[in-house]
Amino acid sequence: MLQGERIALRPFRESDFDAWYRLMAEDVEVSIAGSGTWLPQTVEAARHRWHSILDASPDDRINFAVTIDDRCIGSIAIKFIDRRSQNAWLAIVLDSTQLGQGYGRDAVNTLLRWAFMIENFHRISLDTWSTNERAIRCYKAAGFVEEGRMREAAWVNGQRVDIVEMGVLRPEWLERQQRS
Amino acid sequence: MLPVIRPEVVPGERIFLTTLLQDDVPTFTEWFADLETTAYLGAVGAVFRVEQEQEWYNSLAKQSDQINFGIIVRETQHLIGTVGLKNIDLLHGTAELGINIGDKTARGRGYGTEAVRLMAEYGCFFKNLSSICLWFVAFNERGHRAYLKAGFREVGRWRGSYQLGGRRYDKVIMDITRDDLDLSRMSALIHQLGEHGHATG
Repeated sequence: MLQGERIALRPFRESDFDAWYRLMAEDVEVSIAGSGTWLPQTVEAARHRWHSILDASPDDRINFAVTIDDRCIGSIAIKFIDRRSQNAWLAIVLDSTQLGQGYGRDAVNTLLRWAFMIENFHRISLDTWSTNERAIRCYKAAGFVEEGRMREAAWVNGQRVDIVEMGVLRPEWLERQQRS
Repeated sequence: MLPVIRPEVVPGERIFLTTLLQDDVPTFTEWFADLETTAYLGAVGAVFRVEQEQEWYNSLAKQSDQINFGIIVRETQHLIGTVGLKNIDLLHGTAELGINIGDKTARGRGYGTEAVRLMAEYGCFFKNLSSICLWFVAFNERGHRAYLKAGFREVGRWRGSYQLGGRRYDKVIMDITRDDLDLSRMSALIHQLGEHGHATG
């Protein structure tokens, strides 16, 4: 288990499925923030997806449950793992009722500490919509910098928006840790 | 052996885009047994065997989120490379463009520029895409020039995301939007569409 300030990251368990289903299949806001859309999903289809995500090869993707007092409130993962270039992409979703309390920043920072110090990654990337301002603030607070914007690259909530590309490098992250 | 007459799917000036054939698989294998080519394409250090190229060829017919064409030079009727769109997302209207001029003797002659342009026009016209992106490694200057000439703009960099020989290089991100493109060559392919048409919006 990776202990953050208030959250902890641990492996998913079968008993987290109900929380995961509420998060990934029922929460429209969370779904839109993650994929730009929401589609109705049966429990069976969601269970199939849950297994395909959790059973993914750790060469490609590594998943953590974000927990408070062992209760699952979200998911954080690295994906598109490229060990040769020491890169991976971060994906996080949190229960929308738990937003605004600093859990996202805590989870991202805990994951970065693991990726840079325990694992040997040099760079973590992510992308999000330009209208997802709360997420962008959270990522900047964790040390990510904006590296680019793909123009009009997504349709979200009735408008065409940019995709914001962000990245954080190990030396930058280490420097921030030493300063704070 | 007589040269194969290949269908001219997307006509350009000095090149055209055609469908790929089973008989092209050995040619792909030759192109992808080259460390310079695979380094530019991001599969650094890899070379691909004929079984892997066959698998890729078989996937073309199955996957609807990608489309790939062969690039034929009009003058010689030779297949010099492939160009394609992958991760085609019809909800967001986006895709990622990739190109390989596998025949090294055909590089630096502007064929890639024309192929990229045709592929972008095809994507925006026939797939209704709004935005097409691509990336290249920062040291690939020839690719950079071709993409700029084709109308792509630099929109960002994934800093240090590519390693070679223990050094880190940026991947440069470029994109093009439908508004950047003149789609009249594509609409000319649909003869009855006409210049005025009866579009409803």
